[in-house]
Amino acid sequence: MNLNVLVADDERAVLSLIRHTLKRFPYEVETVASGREAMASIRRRPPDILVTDIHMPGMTGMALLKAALDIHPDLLAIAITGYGDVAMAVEFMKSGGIDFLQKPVNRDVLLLAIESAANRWRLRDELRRSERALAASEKRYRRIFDGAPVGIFQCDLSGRFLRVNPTLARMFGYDDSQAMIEAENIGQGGFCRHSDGWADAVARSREAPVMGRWIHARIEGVARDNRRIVLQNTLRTVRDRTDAPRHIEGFVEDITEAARRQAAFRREMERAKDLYDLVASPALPLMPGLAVDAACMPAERIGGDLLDFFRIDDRRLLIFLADVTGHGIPAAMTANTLKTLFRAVAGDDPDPAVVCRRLNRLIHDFILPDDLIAVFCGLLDMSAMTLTYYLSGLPAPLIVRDGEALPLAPTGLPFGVFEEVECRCDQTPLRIGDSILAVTDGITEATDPAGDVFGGARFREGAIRLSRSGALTADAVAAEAARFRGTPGFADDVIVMVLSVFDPDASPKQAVRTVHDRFQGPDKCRFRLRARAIRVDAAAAFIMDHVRERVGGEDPDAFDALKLAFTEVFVNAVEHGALEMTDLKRNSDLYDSDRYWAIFAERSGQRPYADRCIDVECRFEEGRDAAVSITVVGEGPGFNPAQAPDPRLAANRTRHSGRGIALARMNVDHLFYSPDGRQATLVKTWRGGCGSPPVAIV
Amino acid sequence: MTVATTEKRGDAVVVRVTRNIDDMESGEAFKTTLMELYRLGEKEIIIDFGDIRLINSHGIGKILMFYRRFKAIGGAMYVTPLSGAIKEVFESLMLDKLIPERRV
Repeated sequence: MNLNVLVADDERAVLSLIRHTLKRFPYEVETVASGREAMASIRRRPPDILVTDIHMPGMTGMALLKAALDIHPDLLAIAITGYGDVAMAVEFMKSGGIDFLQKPVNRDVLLLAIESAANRWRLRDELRRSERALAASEKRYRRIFDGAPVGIFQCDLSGRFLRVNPTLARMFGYDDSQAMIEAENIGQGGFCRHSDGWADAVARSREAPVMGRWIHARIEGVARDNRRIVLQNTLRTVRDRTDAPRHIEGFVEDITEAARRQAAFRREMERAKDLYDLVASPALPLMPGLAVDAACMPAERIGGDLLDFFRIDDRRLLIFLADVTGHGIPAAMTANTLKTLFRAVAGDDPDPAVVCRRLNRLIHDFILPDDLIAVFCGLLDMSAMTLTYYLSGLPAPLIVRDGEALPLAPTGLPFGVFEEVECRCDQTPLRIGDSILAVTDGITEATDPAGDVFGGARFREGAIRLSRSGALTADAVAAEAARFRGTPGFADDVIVMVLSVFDPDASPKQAVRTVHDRFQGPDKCRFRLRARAIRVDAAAAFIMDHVRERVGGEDPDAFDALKLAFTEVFVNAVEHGALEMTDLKRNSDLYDSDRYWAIFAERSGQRPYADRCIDVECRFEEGRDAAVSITVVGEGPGFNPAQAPDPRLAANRTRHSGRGIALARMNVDHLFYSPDGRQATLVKTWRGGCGSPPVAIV
Repeated sequence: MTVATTEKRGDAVVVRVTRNIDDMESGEAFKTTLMELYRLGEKEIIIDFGDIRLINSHGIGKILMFYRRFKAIGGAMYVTPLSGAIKEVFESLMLDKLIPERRV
């Protein structure tokens, strides 16, 4: 933009010289011959630069300057004075002029003066612009501070508020910022501001090792109007140039609603997880000559793997292992439907081909178009010693025999893809000593940090190795894959199942570790045992070893006490429950003789005693201190726990019964017996919790 | 997320898979790729798993979904010759019977 220059002089020669001189430069030049004309021009259009002769007839240059500055205070005025008229020049400058030229006017001096005025004009213009910009940005900052949807505050190093914005005031239940500062700084606010959370956050920010680092803190409390609020405070300490802390500033988000939703979601997930635990957890069949060992490790807490057994009769068992695409609630919902359908369908016709065809047709309408279900459905016939199976999509199950592992070949397509599928089955013979090992793909898809996949070959090699060392258990198989992964846990959910075929007539001594069914879930494990096969002490020790592994061995005293109590309760379930020894035990003469133990041994192999089941369920409650609860359920006539004699009474000292229960009770936090005596529950708190550092025993 | 590139080869489109399809996110991205081809009216799809090591039911589910769709419009789906864990997965699901191998 060209600057406007107005030149006033009564000498035409001067006007013409100036116009001529400035012609080649970027100025709009107007020349007038008198002060009056100049004023008219200034009123019409104020110039940026005024060059005026001091001595003009009529209105003098001085008068013109004053009048012009009145209208246009930003005007830059240059005087033209007579030679040596310094006093007048000084007067002109004092009155607001910026420069003067002496006659005769020299072209170069003139140009220099005009350019210097122009520079000054530009500088001033820039200053004006930046002042305007500054004002605008302050206004904007103010607008942000006042209107931000988040709370903003500034406080001193002790946490006293210096400034708070209206949003923060509203969060705390105040009408305006000032009211909040006044009430909160003298300690009359809601307890949110005075909660440890807020003070901790301020202290953490003040002591943060890195200058200006943002600290995040979640604060729960009550606002002034008694609303429960949950706030997310993000704050930092501002330091001066010498690195000394000056004040703390931060912003606060009201996450009450988000926290409420999160809590509701967590509760829903907890219940979904409980439901999924039911889906993943199989009915343990307790078949003569077959030991079941299964483990389920869901990813992200719930998943789409499921396992179930359907006992058709004493010699035939239907096995159902399935894996629904994906994890989480959608997969668990489909798994739930599938398990329900399996239970409904399994009883009609045990042929896996029929079961699978019907299941596929039923589930087809209730599955998303891009989901599918991998299946292993097998009919185990212990009379014919065969396994007839349908297999699709799961890693090939293995028949582990004599230190070798034979993979089963797939027989068909996964469920959910086509409405009707021809479910062709294969059959494989079985022998005493065989194990059937089946897993879901979480095992074979385990990936090591370099991206290598565990795969079917490693799975098979691991099974061979474990079987040769006599350690083929569900958790050992899972541990192999977990070791390959190099990180604890699995990305995918995992079920591992080992079914071992053994000679049901072999002596219990040979079979003690294999004759029970076991299922390990994420926070519980179940054991089913039959009285026939039980060596009581060994079985109790086996179960307790399992408990110790699950909870961690950080509290040996608690473990010893729980083991003692559990063994008493477990022995009770065998002795008084399954084997009905109660009345015999009351007879002191008999109890003191070898005859008692002979009867005990006899009944351990005799119907109906030996066929009775004992169920043990261990639940692990995680937390800072883990709680273990063990429920033992026995079959048999039971007893009345209220009538168990209290051995602490002198009258009962010589009686044989009642001591076990009393001893158990002393060693756990709680011992409950059901009124019929068939069910006992032990609860023991385990200091240190699962996997936490050792805690000194007080 | 991009999990595959596509390239027209004659009448067929080669879908070259560039990352493992083993979770919901990669599965959805793979579905988007196949859906795009389906919408464009392509009928012959050849999937190339040569660059990846793992596919699980997240990916297989999409393949079967589009196998049905392409078949319904008179199209067909193929895979380039498979190996490793991917071959294992295909064989275990008997997909080798539905989706033949084809070289490109």
